[in-house]
Amino acid sequence: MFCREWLAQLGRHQTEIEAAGLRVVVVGIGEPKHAQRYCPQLAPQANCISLPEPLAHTAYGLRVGALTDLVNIQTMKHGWRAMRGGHRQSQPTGDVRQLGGTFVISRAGIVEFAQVSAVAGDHADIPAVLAAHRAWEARNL
Amino acid sequence: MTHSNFTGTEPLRVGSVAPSLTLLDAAGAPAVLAELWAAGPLLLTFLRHFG
Repeated sequence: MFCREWLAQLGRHQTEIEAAGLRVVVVGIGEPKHAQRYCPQLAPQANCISLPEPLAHTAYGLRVGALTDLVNIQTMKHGWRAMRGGHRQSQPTGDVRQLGGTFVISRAGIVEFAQVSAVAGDHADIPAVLAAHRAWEARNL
Repeated sequence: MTHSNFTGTEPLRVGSVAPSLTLLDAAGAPAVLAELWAAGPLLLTFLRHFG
């Protein structure tokens, strides 16, 4: 449900994201058939890639949450927010304890922006992502 | 999967080198992160799962 909510947010900001010169790449845990089923309706502009194991998540330092990171007052608020937005949970692939994150990577492969989720439903702030990218570009022209 | 600059469990910081990994695209073909960002900067987001 949180992943659906996040992809919907990215879709709503797609024009601004593209205007900033960024392309969206979504990394999921699962098989290509899961990406085929999941991404076209939720993130049609994004390039969805996957692995069956969370090796990429680990390489980027993303957390595997404890039970208290997955079920607490904050995640309940996040869940209520996502459900009010019309998002529902379906059968998950992978380890549901795995948390997400968002990065901006420059053409040279340098991290311009990093957000590592602390709890489930903890998304990056898209205006902050875009501001960080613009600032990086301005510094590195 | 192949990878370079594998850093383990430390969160990546701004200014660090991003690990390039080879994942699979929706058609099952290899997708190399370094090739993707070489074509232009990426907003690279990691989902908890497909679900």
